[in-house]
Amino acid sequence: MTNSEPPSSPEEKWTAYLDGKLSAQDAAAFEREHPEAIAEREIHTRLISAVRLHSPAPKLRNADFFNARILGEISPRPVPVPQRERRLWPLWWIAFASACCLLAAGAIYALFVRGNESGGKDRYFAQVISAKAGDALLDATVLDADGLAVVWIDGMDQLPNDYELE
Amino acid sequence: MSLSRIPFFLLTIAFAFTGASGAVAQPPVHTEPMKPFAFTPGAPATEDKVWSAVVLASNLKNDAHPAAAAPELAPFVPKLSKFFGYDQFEVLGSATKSMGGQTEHWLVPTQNFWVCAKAVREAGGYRLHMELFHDKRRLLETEAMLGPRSPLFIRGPVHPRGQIIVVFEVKP
Repeated sequence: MTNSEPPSSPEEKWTAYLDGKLSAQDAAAFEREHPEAIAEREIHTRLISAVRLHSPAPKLRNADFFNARILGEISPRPVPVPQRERRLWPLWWIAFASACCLLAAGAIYALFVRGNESGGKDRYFAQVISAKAGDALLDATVLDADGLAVVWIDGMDQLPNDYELE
Repeated sequence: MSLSRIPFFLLTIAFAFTGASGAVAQPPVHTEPMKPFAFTPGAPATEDKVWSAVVLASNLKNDAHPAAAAPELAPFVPKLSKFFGYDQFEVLGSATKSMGGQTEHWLVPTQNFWVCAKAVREAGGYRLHMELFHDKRRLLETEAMLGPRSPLFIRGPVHPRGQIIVVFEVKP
């Protein structure tokens, strides 16, 4: 029932009459239909006055607490998002870990294993144990030319211009 | 990094080391029981060859391009250029001979330079004993340990065109 709609059932009319919600015409018509209503209304009015007089509204302590509870109750609640089931090792993590392992193993193999193999094949090694000049006018010296072994013979004359090299 | 990620990285590193150790690991070497005090002199290396070349190191004219070096010299040209101070290394002549055990071999890379060489395998390399002659004059007697494709360079006489360098290399 809304306030704008007139009471339809007898109980509603009784309640509206006792609460003083009926208009003057409706109240007069209701009193004509129910002569005992006037006495009832008197009793009701006195009862309400006595209740209001002797039963004041209780004071709420901890008002903030109750306000918070009320606000929590009436505030919109977040819609629960269905959480995916968490597994310890999801498939894509395992795939990613496998790819990382392959890359790391390949890098280590390329750096250390193949590097050592090729380094062993191409590594320059030459060590002069002894070097003796062919005669007393010559001198032989062993030199390190940036890692290359060089025997330097001194004491030779420069070849003439017409010397056939080939 | 959250704590939940730590096991992932630990597992990744563990897998990587496992894979790497598998790649690096060599199969067990099958060894024959060795006789005590067994000594075998340098085995005759019939397939190995000694290569000798006479090289002329020279400087180029202003706009000339250096000729391609011989394959045996090409890897060493930058260091040779830096050490000797020449741009171009031209092979005037070369000679190759198979090494036949303990005997000496004569190599004549050019008509003016002769080499008497003997090379035996030793300790994973080659022990080379050689004598270098220029015309009839003995210039040098030397003994060296050479690895494969590791030439020995000998600075010879100077020519008006450049510097003579004699090269020795053992080819497996």
